[in-house]
Amino acid sequence: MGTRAGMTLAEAGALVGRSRLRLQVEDFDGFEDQRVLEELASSCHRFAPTIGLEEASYPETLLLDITGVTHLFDGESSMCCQVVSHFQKQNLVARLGVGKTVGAAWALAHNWNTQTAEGDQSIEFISSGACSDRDVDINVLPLRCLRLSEKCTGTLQRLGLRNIGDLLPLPRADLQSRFGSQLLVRLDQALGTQTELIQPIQPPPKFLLRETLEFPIGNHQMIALILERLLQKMCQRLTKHARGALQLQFRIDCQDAEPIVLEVGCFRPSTDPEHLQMLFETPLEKMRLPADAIEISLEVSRSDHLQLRQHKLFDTDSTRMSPHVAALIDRMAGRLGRKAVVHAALRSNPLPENAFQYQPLVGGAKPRRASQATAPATVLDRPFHVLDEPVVLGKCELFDDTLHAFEYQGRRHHVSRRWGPERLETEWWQNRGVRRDYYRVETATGTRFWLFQDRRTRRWFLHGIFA
Amino acid sequence: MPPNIAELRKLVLPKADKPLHSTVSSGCAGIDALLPDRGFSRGSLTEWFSSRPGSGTTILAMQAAYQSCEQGGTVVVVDWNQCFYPPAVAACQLDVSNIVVVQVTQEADELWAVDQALRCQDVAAVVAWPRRIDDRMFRRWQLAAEHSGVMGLFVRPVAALPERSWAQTRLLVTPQRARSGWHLSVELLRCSRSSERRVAQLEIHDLTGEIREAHPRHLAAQLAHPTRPARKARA
Repeated sequence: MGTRAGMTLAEAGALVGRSRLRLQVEDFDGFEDQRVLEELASSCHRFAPTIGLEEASYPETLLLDITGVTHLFDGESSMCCQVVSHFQKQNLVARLGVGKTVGAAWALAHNWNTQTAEGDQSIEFISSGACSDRDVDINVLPLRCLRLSEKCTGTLQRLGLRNIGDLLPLPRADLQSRFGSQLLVRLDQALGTQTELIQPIQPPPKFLLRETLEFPIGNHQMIALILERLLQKMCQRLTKHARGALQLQFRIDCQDAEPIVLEVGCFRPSTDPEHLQMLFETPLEKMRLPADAIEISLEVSRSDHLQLRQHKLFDTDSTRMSPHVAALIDRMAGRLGRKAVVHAALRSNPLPENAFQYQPLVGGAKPRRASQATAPATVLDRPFHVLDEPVVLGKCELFDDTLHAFEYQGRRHHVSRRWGPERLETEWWQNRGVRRDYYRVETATGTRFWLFQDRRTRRWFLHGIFA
Repeated sequence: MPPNIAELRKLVLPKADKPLHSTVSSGCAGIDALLPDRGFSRGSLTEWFSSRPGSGTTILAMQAAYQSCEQGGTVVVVDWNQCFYPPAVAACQLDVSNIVVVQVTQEADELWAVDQALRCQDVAAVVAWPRRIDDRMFRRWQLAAEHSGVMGLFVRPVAALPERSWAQTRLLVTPQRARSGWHLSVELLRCSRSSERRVAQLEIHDLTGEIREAHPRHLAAQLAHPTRPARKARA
């Protein structure tokens, strides 16, 4: 398509607009972004013992300390290929830089231009090679590779300084007085005269219990008993690490048949074996064993730190859900499915169907930042029932382009009063530019509906009912 | 005394000594005036019958839900047809993050979810749109609500009126034609104790959304009932 990182939404929309594809736009969520990056860091522990994230408000670089481990991968180049292929398997584009210091590696990894990004070679890595070569490389790298603020980089460039090497002949005292100490710190870190430590991300402990049966079992009650025993062991283990289970997988390996995997999730991290056993009750009842079980395992696929909070004497925080409600949510999600028990987050989107988003409460979905969306002013601004898909109104009676009567569910409705239009439009690159005129109408019988007229097709739709 | 009688006493007596659940305002003075305790009792079920689609019944039920969670507690909304629109809730001053939405596609799941929510003592109110409620299930809901103190608010079509009910209060909402505002007539069909007033006329202001009691205004000319002068026959 030609889209690339850093491109504005309008530019991307223009590229997508030529094709029949639809541009999907998601709001940036720094919290979720960091969580995914941490997951990626954890997945890289097979390459290096110490892995961390760069120091930034929204980090986007993984730092791997590969000192003394490259020989295990047949050298730097071979190791880089393996790292690249690791990310490639996850459909991710990675850029690697190998240096003797964190600053040098960062600079090398970020020294790329748009031409290489759009080229056929989607992944590219730069290895510094020997020490002497690296010194040369660092000096010729542009100033934006120094991890400085945009303002500082811009000022340096306006003064005619282009590369890192241009800074070296300048007096350090003058540089510090004019640009602050951060410039010198970054310069020293890149050159290796100042040490920089990687804050390691600890891999989450693995919670897995396996029990190989002495003889095959086909009895559900026996399996439930084994599960109970495993859950008790697992909860003890979780408590030792001060963690609680958010998602559990119960796997039953059968004789000459595909294994059965039962999965349950919790609203809050839990270490209560009775509660977890209760969540497994419904899936166990529904389960049909294709053959006798030979091995049973229980794994906590997602866990989180236990939420311990001291209560205030007069706790008025009504928004925090109580343990009873948390147990209710888990019970309902266990029977109806994780996606059936949700909470809504309002969004700042003009399109009514995109004005909110449901998020599952169970399974460790982190609460997002408070929405900046504005709520409707009055109870009559938006109906409580909005149809999933707007329904085309039939047999509309129009006079001077104003709706006077329409048919819905086989009944004729005569419009007696109307409020509007409330013009709702999306940007031309979103949803192919929706343009609607919304009306609240009251019929001759006093009932109220929420209609709109598509400004392109001039057709009328029913979108909501003031039920 | 036989042991089984003693056990029964143990079960029954503490419940008899328990204070009655507090009363929650409906959020509208007109409806409160209809009810003997000036509001709905916590731990009771209320059926809101909608005379026809688009009669504003859910708005009134949500007002009551908001009142119920003012002292804390979560509101559970059991949405069977995925039509519930959360942005509208925000206009009722309800905190959207304090609402748990349960999306169900089968009737059995809907009834089960309501039952479970009614049993949770930290839930303030359960809002649902059940089409059919099994008699036994309704009784289970009533007992569950009574035990936990959760309010059940059920918006139902008028076709469900002949069904047997265990709800403490049944209200019928009928929209009226009016020149200004949205006029709704709320008729008290049943209440555990009798009330003098049976019908309340409400008005939702078109601009502010405020729900208040509508007072019928008559023009002085209408009150006087002037007789029309007889037309003179043309010559």
